[in-house]
Amino acid sequence: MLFKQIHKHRIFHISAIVLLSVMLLSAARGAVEAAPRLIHVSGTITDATSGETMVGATVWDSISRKGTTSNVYGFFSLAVPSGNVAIRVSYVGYQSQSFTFRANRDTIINVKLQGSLSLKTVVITAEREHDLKGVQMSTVDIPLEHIKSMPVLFGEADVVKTVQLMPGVQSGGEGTTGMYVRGGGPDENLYLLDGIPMYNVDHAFGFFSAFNPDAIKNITLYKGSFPARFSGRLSSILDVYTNNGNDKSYHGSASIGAIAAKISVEGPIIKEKTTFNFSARRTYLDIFTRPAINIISESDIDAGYNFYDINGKITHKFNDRSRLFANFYLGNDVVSIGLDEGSFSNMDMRYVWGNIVGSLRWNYMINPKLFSNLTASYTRYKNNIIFDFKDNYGANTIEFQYKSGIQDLALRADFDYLPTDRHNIKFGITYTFHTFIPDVLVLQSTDFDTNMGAEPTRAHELNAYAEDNWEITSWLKANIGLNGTLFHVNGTTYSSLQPRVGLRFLANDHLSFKAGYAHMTQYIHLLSTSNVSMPNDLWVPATEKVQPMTSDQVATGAFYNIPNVAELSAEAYYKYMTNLVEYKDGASFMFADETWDNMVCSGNGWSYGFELMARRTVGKITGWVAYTWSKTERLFDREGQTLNGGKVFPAKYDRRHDVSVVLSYKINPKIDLSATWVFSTGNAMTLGLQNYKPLADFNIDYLTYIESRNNYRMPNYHRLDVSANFNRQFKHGSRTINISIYNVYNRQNPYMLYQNGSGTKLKQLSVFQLIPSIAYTYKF
Amino acid sequence: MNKRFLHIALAVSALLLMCSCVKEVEFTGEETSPQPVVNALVAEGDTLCNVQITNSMFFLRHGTFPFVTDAGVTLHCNGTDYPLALVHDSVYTMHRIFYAGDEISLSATIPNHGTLVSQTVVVPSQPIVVDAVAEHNVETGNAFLTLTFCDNRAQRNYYRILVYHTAADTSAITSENYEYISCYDTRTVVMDADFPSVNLGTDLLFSDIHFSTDTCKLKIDFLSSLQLENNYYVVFQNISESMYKYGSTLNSYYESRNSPFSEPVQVFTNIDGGLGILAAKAEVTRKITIVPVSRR
Repeated sequence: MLFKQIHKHRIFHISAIVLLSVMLLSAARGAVEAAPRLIHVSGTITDATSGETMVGATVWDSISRKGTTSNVYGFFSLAVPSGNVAIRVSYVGYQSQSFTFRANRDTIINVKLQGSLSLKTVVITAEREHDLKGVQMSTVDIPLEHIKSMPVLFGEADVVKTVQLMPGVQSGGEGTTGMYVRGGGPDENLYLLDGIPMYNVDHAFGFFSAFNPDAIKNITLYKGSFPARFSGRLSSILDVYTNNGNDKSYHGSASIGAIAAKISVEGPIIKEKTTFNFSARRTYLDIFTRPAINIISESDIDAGYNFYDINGKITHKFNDRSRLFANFYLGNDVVSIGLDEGSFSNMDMRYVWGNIVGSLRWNYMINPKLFSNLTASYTRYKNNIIFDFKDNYGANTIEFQYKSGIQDLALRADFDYLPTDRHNIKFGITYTFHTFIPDVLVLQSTDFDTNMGAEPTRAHELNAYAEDNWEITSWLKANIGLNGTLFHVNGTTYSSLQPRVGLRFLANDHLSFKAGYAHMTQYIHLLSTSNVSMPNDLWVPATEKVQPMTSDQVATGAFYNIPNVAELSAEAYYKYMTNLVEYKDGASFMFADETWDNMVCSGNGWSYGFELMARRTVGKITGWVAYTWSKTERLFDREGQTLNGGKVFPAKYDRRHDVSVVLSYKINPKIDLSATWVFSTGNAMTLGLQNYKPLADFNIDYLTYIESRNNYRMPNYHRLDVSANFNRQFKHGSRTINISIYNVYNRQNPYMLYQNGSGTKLKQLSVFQLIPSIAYTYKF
Repeated sequence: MNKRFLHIALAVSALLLMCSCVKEVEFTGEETSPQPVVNALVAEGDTLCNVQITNSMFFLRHGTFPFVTDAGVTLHCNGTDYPLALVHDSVYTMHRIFYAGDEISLSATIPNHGTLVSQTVVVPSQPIVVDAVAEHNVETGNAFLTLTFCDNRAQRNYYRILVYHTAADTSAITSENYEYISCYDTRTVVMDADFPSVNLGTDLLFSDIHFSTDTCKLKIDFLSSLQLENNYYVVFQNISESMYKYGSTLNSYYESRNSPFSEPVQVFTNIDGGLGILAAKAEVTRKITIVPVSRR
């Protein structure tokens, strides 16, 4: 076994070094051979109206038949032969622009694209070629226009719930934002907000995500074939970028929905130089819940719940080559309970959890071949429970605090280097200082004063990567990369080399085939004892007992574009995961008398399946149909760490079928309609099917025999949501009224199944049946 | 009045929005076949060994667990086979005095199920309780039990503590050499006012891994409202490792049984081919000395 592991690592190391060497040699050779004949056309692509940089816009030279796409900062660079150049810049929903010129040296052109809507047209004609011609597979660009127009729960548009409708992504449960990507757990997803990790993206125990759609510019989900620049999680990367802000004039929006109100403002601080973008959202659930609890409890309880988040961004453009970005996010959930029993006692409890994310980023185009990006960032997730009790009669006081969380300080440097027309090299390095606060309990009273729980753990992570997007021939393109990580915690240093390969075979202008392989390593684990996202889920580092998790994923797929009709894709994947972590039966970390690594066990898992998707981005009717077939299993058979008797069992979110249909119909500029239908195989759950008599010495009525973990299937899940947006243009702005109906045919989907003590049937709890909601938005 | 009406309207709206429903649904899986269950407890110094054999029952049926009355049960102890006789219901019995260190093997042949086997060792000896003193805070009524006992360091020992009140009495011994743990968590021993039965949650299970000396001291938050007119007793058991695992997983099982968010727990079994437990114990009962204390 040990030999196998060593052998496997050697193969990885050798293959990784070979890959990197080939890539660098090829790039160097290409640079030497091809550089004299080539010039670089580079620049930034922005929205003509707002000045917002555009991500993923296509730049195509029809003479050399070479193309590229703009990066997340709107920057592009295309190496073309000197002489005549015919550049066409296009983006979905925008009018394309063409430039024909003669160039004998590097040229900068900054392109401003005009949105189709502002041109009074409703039919979008540009198509995305990225999915077809790019090397990257297992990647989905989430259309923002769908997020805002889709039917939503309680009138709250949600990024993660839209992502759940993509093939290969499963939701955790009714109305929740947990993501299960290709058989991975919810802790195996890396959520990046402007490139900075966010550790908890849930509000309200997972019913809403922390991403405010009003603040977002671009969202990309990577499910496999990960480029080398990403690391740290096994299953997915959700890359979210926020708006920079309009650099010409002030704009904003305010909206009010069933449970939350939002405001968003953007504009220039210095015209066409410095911009700001500010969004805030707050629920008013506490306004509903306080009187409800008062009435139900018939006592003097003051209890409420709310969440809020604030996004802020300031962008300063020094010149065409240099920009500075300052990002800020703050989001918290707050539960407060106060109980006053007059002269006897009073009690206050406050439960707060949330994130802070901040970063400072400097983009600098060193020359048309080299683009740099330097970032300093801070991210923190904390979970605090504060409990105060005062017994007025005996003058006893108890103060109780439970704290857990994680925080990162990071410095990062990324570079895009385009030495020739055939190579686009990205490389970079990141240092992260992690602080884990697993669980700290502070108890103070008139009788005692004590601190319990684990000490904070500090870890250092150094990560470096290099990847080359290499056009080998006109029909064969590759993305070859290597990510290397050192992780030092508690005196132990872990290392990993993570090779990544992606290949694209272009059969013709409409059909391509792709294949990819990615090895991923994850050095942190999320401990959760519950099926739903709980704020007290713990982030912990790898230890000697609980080794880093790894995954190896291969994927292959075919992509076909029917011009002006639809994009079709089919992908198949196989993923093998090691050192997955699960709690031992009945273990719970809170108030436990053992360290967390004694309460978990490690095992392996695998997932395989195929995903089909048909997507239409042009015309009056847009949307997609997605189908996923998958199987996910776990095996925990290591000595002293067995689960399910050391036998294979289905993972908690193993589902055979997932279907989603998302359609939007723009009747005219005033009205658009949307509908979403989802179907999935019922969730797996553990159900003991036999009861038996216990030893009489223990006074319990019966015990339940559990043959196997996740041995029973809940009924299938399906639901239809519809919505209508009514838009109206005014002189100084526009308003949109969104009317949504969640679960139109009132399907009672299972949220939970359990046995009622003396019943002969199972009890099914359903939440969120037919729910109408309305939201009003005014934009100026 | 208007404010009250507004609050009610808001409350109703909130309930409607967050509405959930519970309904009965049919079990759609396959009904699994019953499992044979063997429960037996061998006590050091006891003259009687009872083995109860039942069948498990599909979880949506209710009633008495089916008795197994046609099993052939044999207990093998120190090289000798002892057949057990069915005495009532599904209880099979034999008479023999069990001594510390006896190696026991149990086999039960059940028609249509084959032969179930299990092994255990009778625990080394009766535990020695040196002292059992409860400090009673006369102002608050709280009582902390301090239990001093001897631990045989030669092997790993597993213990179980139960507390009750009844009319019995014993003497007390003191020791200076001790270690100490406090139990404030779910394993805290809380006595039932209407003892003598043992309720789950009233027993404290632990191993001597927590201690490093021969004489150990244990402090237990044992009662929130001690009644001075009662006599309190502690039952201190030295139990087999299997019984410890059974009791520990049983506690976890009980805690997770009514929690919809917990993964169900499979209770430990040492019966090959079936369910249940062949357990062993040695126990001693001591009266708790109550010492009133006052902060004033």
